Amino acid sequence: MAALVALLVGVMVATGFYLLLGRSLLRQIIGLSLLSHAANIIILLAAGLRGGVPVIGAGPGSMTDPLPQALILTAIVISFGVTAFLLALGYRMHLFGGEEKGDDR
Amino acid sequence: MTARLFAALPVLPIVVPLLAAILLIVWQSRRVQRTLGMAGAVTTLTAAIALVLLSRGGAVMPVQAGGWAAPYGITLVADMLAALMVLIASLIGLVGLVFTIAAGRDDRFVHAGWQFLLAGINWAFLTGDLFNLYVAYEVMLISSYFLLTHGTTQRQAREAFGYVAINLVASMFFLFGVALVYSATGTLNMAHLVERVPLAPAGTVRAGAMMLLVAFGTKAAIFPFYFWLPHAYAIPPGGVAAFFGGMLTKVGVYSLFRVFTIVFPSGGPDPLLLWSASATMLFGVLGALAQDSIRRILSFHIISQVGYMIMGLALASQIGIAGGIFYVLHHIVVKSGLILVGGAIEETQRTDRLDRLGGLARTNGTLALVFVVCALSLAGVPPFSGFFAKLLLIRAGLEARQYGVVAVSVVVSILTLMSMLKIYTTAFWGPGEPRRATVRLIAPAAALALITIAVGLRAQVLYSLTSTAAGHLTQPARYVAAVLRK
Amino acid sequence: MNLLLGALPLIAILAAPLAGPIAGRLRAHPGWTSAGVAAGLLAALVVLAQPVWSGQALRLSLDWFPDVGLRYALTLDGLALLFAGLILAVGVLVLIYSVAYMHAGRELGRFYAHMLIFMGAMLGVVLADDLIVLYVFWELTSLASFFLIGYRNEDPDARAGATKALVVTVAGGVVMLVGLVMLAQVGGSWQISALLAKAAAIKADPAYPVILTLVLIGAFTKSAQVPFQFWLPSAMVAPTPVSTYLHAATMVWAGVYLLARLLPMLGGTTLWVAAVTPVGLATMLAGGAIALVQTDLKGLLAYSTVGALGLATALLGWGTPAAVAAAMVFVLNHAAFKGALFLAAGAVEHETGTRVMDRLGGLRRAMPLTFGVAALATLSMAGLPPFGGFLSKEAAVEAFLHGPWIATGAVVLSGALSLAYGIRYMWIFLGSPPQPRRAKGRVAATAPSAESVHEPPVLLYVPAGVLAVVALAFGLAPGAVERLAGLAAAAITGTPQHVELWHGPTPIAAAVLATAVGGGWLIFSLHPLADRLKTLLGWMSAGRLYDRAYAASLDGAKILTGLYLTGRLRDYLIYITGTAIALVALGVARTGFAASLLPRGVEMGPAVTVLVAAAAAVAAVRMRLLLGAVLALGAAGYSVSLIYLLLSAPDIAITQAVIETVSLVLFLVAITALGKSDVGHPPARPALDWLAALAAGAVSAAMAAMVAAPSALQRVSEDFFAHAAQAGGKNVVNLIIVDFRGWDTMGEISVLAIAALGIISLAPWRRAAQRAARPRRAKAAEAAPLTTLILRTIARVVSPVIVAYALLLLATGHYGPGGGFVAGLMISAAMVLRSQAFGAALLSRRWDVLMAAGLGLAAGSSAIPLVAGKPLLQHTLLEVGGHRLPSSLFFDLGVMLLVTGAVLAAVRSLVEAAEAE
Repeated sequence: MAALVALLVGVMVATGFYLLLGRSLLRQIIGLSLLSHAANIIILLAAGLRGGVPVIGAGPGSMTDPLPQALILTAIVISFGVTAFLLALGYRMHLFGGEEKGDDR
Repeated sequence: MTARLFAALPVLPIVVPLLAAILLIVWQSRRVQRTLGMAGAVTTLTAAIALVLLSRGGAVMPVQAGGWAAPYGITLVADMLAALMVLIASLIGLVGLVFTIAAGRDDRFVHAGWQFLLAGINWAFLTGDLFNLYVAYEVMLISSYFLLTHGTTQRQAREAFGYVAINLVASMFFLFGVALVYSATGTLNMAHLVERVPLAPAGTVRAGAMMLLVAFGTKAAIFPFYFWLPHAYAIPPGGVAAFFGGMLTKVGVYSLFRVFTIVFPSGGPDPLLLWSASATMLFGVLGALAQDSIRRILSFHIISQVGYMIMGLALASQIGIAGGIFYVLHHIVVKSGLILVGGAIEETQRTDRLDRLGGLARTNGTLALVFVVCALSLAGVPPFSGFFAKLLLIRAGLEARQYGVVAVSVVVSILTLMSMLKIYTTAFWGPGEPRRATVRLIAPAAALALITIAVGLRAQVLYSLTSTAAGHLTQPARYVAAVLRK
Repeated sequence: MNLLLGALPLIAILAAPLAGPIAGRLRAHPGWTSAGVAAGLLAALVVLAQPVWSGQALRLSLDWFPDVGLRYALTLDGLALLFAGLILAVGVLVLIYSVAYMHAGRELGRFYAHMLIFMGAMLGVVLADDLIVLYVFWELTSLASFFLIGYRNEDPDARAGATKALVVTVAGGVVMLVGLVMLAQVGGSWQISALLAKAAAIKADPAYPVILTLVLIGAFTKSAQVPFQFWLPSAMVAPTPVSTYLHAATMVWAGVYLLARLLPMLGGTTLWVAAVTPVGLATMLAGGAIALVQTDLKGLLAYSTVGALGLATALLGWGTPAAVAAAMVFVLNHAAFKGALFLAAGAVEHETGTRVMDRLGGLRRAMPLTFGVAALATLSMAGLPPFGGFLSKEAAVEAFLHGPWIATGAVVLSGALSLAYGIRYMWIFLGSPPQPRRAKGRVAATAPSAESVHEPPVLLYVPAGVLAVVALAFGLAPGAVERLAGLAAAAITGTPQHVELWHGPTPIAAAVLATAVGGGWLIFSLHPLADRLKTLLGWMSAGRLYDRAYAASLDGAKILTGLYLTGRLRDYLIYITGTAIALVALGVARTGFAASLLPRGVEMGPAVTVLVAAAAAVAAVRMRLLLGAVLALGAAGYSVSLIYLLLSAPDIAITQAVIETVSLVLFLVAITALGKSDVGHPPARPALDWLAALAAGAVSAAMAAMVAAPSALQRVSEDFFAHAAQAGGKNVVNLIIVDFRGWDTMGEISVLAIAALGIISLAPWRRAAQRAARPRRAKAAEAAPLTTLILRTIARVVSPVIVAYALLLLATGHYGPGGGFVAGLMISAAMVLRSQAFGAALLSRRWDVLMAAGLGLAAGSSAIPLVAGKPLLQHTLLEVGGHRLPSSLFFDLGVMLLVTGAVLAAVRSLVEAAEAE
């Protein structure tokens, strides 16, 4: 299972990065979102993929490591904030649209 | 009461600007905003001074957030290094704010963003937890995105977009590094990591270290991660640019100093970092020589001078690291001073392109003097702080027998002087009778120039502080014991 | 007493900014106040010098930078006394001269400030006993020189000359600094007096050749030795007082001084002799030869000075006691006659308006006193008796007499050269007035007519006269010179020296004299041929090399920077990521790879979800329609959310799902503006993009595998379960977020707040009046009343439910999945629903208050415990109205309020921005 998830990380990094290297700003933001998904998943892998929901008394058996989950929650919210800001920036500054504009400075 | 204040002191440089920012979100009146902003900056500076005074003699002051003992909760740690960095950040925060107000470029957003940025920077210096460092970075970064894009044109927004994108990629590297380190060692607390890293699987630790190197290196603008800097730093007005140019990269440098000495010790001069330092110094100054506007020249010099700081780190000796920290502090003062001079020029002359300036020394004598002091200090010419910073590094480099990097540092300082002379002889000398800049625009830079003179006269004072700070990095036992309450 | 010594250099520097203002108060020329300072210092020197005359030395050593070992240490011995006396005496004369030369202007105060700074710094150089103190003052002299050369900075030549001088001398200085640091490390001290004791060890050390080379570079650049001499003539663009003082009498001699000072600890070896003497001799001849072919008065004198510096350098290179003494004698004599000649040249320029020798002639009639002064000085320079110059040249020849004949011959030849160019110099007085040239009917205005030229003001020829008389006196009564030079030489060689200059007419003296006179006359007559010589000698100059190197470095910098700093984000990302991949790959290759790669225990559910997520990610790349890409992203996000759920992370699953929804909405808003402009065939992507992406993906997958590998070390999170009861909850993740690691959450919500601020600053709200004026909103409310009714009913029913559920999630966050963030998002959703339905001004309440309240509540929960003497953010159980509530609830409430405020504020901004389009 871990191998599969690791592969997923790889796929998301590859696709996200590929989009990021392109010229369309909106696709770059999509790529950045994929990259943050990958980062979140790799943190989850640090918990090992064993154990149940980390709520005391929720069920039998051991609980999974809750710390990575908390870290991911924080990371998700932070990425969301930045992504929203980027979208607003691009939108308001009329940066989106037109492949011919590209991202040459 | 005083005992409680002292116990809370390490937290104040974060909490005070945060509270100021919260109030600034609400208030509408420009005068109240300015008062609040200044009050926040001044109070933070006072707390920072107190922290430095208390850290002499090697004291380490941990604060366990939530009351949970380390390494289970998050620890904020004020040792001499953190205290010094907080002090300089608060100082530049204050000085840059004064300039921004003097230039009339402040509004509610700028004030709130400014306090958030200061809080984020201090947060990064004071935290003793690896993931909390990531959070601090994000607070700092988003404040910088905000200040960068506020009130800009479309073309500038495009440049800013690139800056944000690169930093997001670096943040991703950061998270990868955190995952690797946590998986290998089971902890995120820096002091605890000192104990655990030697016991953890070496490959995972190494990969994590490299990821963190890239993340911090991108922020610090070392070779080969610095490309975003000249484009981004050309955008904002003088006061903001001074705060950015002085402090933002230094957070990355600080993180490198903190993590790559105690958590990932190298046990001797590190060839990777030495190469990076040399390349950074060289490419930075060559980039500066290629530019024709004051802001862009100064931006490249930030990169070049960061190379010197990394040289100190790379030498990994007590005197090398102490020299590197000295260099960091000196450079922040001088670079911010130079950017503020450039800002004053830009505000009064409406341009900072060298081919459109001339004769500034004739009508702006004080400004010229401030520029000369800061520029010479940057180039390492005595009797200013820059000379002693360079001397310390040369001495450390020769003692460690790293002749290559010493030679590079000498060549680069000559080129730096040439670059500063280019600005001076083109913009300050020559024909022309340009407008005078007002006292309020010059005063912030002048204050910083005075500091570089004072440090130059008696470098011992600062050096003993940086030596104490370096001690915690080369011999972390006291730091670890204080945090983990052994 | 010793403190006065220490103060000497500093007094001049500190007095510098005052010279101008005080003179202004007294309504006098600032030259007088400056000369006064110099005179005062000279008097102090005389007082301090008492013990030195009897062979003792005065010392001062104060703490300065103890951690490194630097001290503010000064020494006044014979050598220092000689130079210090020179600096101050010549300084007084030059400053008096400058009163008449420098016309009043607003920059004048600054000029004298720089002169005084220079004087103090130069004093510091010769008095310094600590290597770094010496270096600091050394560079200060270069700095002062820069400002003085660039005094008339409207002139591009002045700017260029100043820059060249500074760059060359500072470059040499920095190289020298490395040598000095090495010297201190080898010798174990920074103080020269301490290093003298270790001289033998230093010379035997393997680093000695390097140290010597580096220090010599510094000395040679400062003293304009070949091949570094080219900066000195360019510096002649400076006003004459500057040229006289800095570039003839003092600053350029700093290098010679350094050689003398360091001779005991670095000299006397074969390497020293082999390195220094030839350079000195070459410079001596080159300077003399080039001087001969100059057309500019000051240029002639400049190159003549170069030659003189060469002679002194050669003598110090030779290093015998006789040679050292001869060098000291020569320094004194040269200052006298060269100073006089420079001042006279300045006087001529002041009166005639030109320095070009071809345009001058017959001035002996127009300015007889100046002529007399110049004649005396020239005779001394040419080495003719009974002037001091003759004695010093003879001493030099004698010093080399037992050495290689080529050296002796070179000295004699240089004597001939100096006679020759001396005659050239005097020709402006001796020859006949030049004819005014007519060119195409225009009267040449360049040649001054005889009537308009007259004797310069008194102050311009008297100081020169004093120096010329001294030059004569040095020859007639050399006692003082002998004693001073003897003391200086003793200080250098360490043994008492008795210098006797006039041995009576000896055959050698006669032979030298005859050769010099004869040769000189010969060379002078051949001087028209010299123009060809000039071209030849131009090749020897490194000056063109410098100019080309300077230009090349600027151009090269531009080209290099343009190559890699393309301005394209893509390129930068590839540099960064490529390096990251390389670092990880190489690092791990060295240390080993610990990972679990075997697919163990694959469960159906999660596996399928993983595959769906991967497919969605790939689809996002492949979709040509932007909308499709966004939807693919959404699909990926939801799949990931499902993965979280299946992998025992319900809190994240909910949050991820909600956030994904909001993100999708934002993306869609962003896309709407584009219309159809994004459909099209995408341009071909370079292969590097594929490769980089795949490489990054591969390395990431490998790192993920490493992360998944279990480590033997116990996780700190184990402890959270034990403390959960103490924290008062069961949902450990929520406990971490709000309590154990609440400080992370504080940062997280700050980020949200700032992001919202950012969005609002980009899309500011319209004021109420503007909104009311818009017809669109009114229309929307009237159109389709049925739809509106349905919408409103739904809103009325559903939104309170959502809000209630949100509050429930908030309250039970500690015990089950939920928490402040999700609650906040849900409330925002409810509010958006209401606003769409009722069209009421969304958040007519102030968004800023809501955000501030939320952030403040959270910050307050963190800070208030501090006031109570508890650590940051420590939660406790509070008694509120008979119930026991954990204070973390308030923290969570703060989170909720902040999230609501931020999201709503941002949404409103974007919606209004969209409507405005």
